[in-house]
Amino acid sequence: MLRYIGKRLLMMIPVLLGVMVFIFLILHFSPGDPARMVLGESATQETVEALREELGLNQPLFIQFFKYIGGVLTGDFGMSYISRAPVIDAILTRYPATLILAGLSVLIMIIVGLPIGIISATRQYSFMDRASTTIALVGVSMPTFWIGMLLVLFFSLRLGWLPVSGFYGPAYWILPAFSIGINSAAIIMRMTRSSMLEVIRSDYIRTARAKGQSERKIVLHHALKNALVPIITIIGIQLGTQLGGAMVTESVFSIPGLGSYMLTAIKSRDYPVVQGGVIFIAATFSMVNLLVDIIYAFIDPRIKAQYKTSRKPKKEAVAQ
Amino acid sequence: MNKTTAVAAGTSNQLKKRSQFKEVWHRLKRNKLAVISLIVLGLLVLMALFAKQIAPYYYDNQDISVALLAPGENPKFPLGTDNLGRDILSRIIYGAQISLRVGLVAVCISAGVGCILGAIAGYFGGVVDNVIMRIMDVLLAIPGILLAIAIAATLGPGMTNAIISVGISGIPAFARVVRSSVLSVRDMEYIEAAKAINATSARILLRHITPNILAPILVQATLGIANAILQAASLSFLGLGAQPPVPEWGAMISNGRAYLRDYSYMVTMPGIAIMITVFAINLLGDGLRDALDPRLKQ
Repeated sequence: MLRYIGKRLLMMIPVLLGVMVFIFLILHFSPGDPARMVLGESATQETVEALREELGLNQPLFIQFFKYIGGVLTGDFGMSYISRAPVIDAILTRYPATLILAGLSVLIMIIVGLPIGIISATRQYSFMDRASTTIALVGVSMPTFWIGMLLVLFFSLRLGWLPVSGFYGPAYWILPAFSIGINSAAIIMRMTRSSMLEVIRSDYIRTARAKGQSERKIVLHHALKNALVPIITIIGIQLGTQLGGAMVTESVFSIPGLGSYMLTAIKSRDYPVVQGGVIFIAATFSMVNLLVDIIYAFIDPRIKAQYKTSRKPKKEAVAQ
Repeated sequence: MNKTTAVAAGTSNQLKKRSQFKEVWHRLKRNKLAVISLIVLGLLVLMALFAKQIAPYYYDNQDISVALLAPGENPKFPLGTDNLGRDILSRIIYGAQISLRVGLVAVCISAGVGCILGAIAGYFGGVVDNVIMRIMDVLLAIPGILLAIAIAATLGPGMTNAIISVGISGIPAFARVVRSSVLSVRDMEYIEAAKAINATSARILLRHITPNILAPILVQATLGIANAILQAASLSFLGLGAQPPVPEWGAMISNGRAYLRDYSYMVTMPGIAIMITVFAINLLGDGLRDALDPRLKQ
């Protein structure tokens, strides 16, 4: 297992390197001069040239790239063109808000989506099943920023229960987390239902029923445990999507997170901030995917056995 | 003897007549929700095609004297007017043109490039497969909407650029689906037979493999259209997609944001339009998935 985790961590290096190359190239080929953006249209050409020189933008692209990679490897993500402060500091200040938002929405997604999916599968074609699948499909069909605005309209502006914007404490977290969570809960619900339906008709479920096992135990211990693998995969993917989607939600609720910071940076061509933000999000996404793969082994002994058997033949070969 | 032959011939004719398409269509027709979604989508397409004839006003007709009318307040403006006195219903009708175009063109880009890359990776395998799929892994490591935002920012704001960015961000999903489908049919006997008669790789991919992997591509494309419409709306909401006065639904919501407290219909109406469209496409996608699933044939 440890060897597998090590191998997966090593495999993340080329992927993250690829992300760096990709984002570096698309940003540097985009129209618009960052130096001109920083200084404004009224700045003289000489001042703009001086700033280009200072920011290293006059150097050949590949030198800029290798300097950047070298910096990233030593934990230096460069300086923001706008604030002239280290990018890593700004990211580390803002990332917790984004992570809290993503984490809470995952919690909401699991608390809402999983039980409804289970009930829907165990009572297939009932009114409850049809109602929840239709509501889930409606949930998937709504843009998250629109859900956010509707929540603000009812819970903040009409009822006055929760704050409209900002991120100063738990009360401020509820609406943004729900606006992303509702959409993802619908996805989890659909996946749980279909995954449970595939499992629930298996022979071992019939055997458990024949043994006189209680329905609760059959559903939670026998069926759900075997249906969890695809559900966990989707939860992992959703967490990644939420990190990316945070840009939109943070913009709706004026949250000072990484998403809104990157959006401002994208519009002002602040390359180091965008590059740093994308690398952070991609690294988190890759780590979540690795975590999901490790969780598989804990919930499914067949997968754990695969890790073990994949090592054995090599050992035997060495012994021979 | 003759009778038996005639019966056999009749059965084979019947079998021949019932093509895969017809069978799928027959199964799809039995799914009431899918039929309703098809009707809704048909109406939306008609609305988009005949927007000029249906819409009471042109989408950019401004009349400040009737600005911010609530729905039903004036029968001439059934869904109300925005801050510039533009008829919201007319803007939603014209907006259908944009959203449907975004969905279709973006999916054409994703499917076109993704299918070619996925098919090449799956069919040839080895180094080609490794190179293509590692590039796809890089793109998949960046969440879809973030990728679309980054590309849209690079290309500059505008609807065409938004379509291209949404299309590019959808490529990896298609490449993966097509690659795995090609892998599942690559070693079938009919492919070996085609190779044995010296058919070229392009011919095998186009004539023999493609028709057999159309089902997952079709489902992915349908759901991809829904996703593309949502992504493009998000881009417009952030100011990276459609620019004023283009009546894209996401841009309309963004415009109504400042008026949410007192004139919430400026936000709710275009949102409902997005929801109905995406809901209908998702329902059709689900219906198609069921109709194309051989396990559900009975």
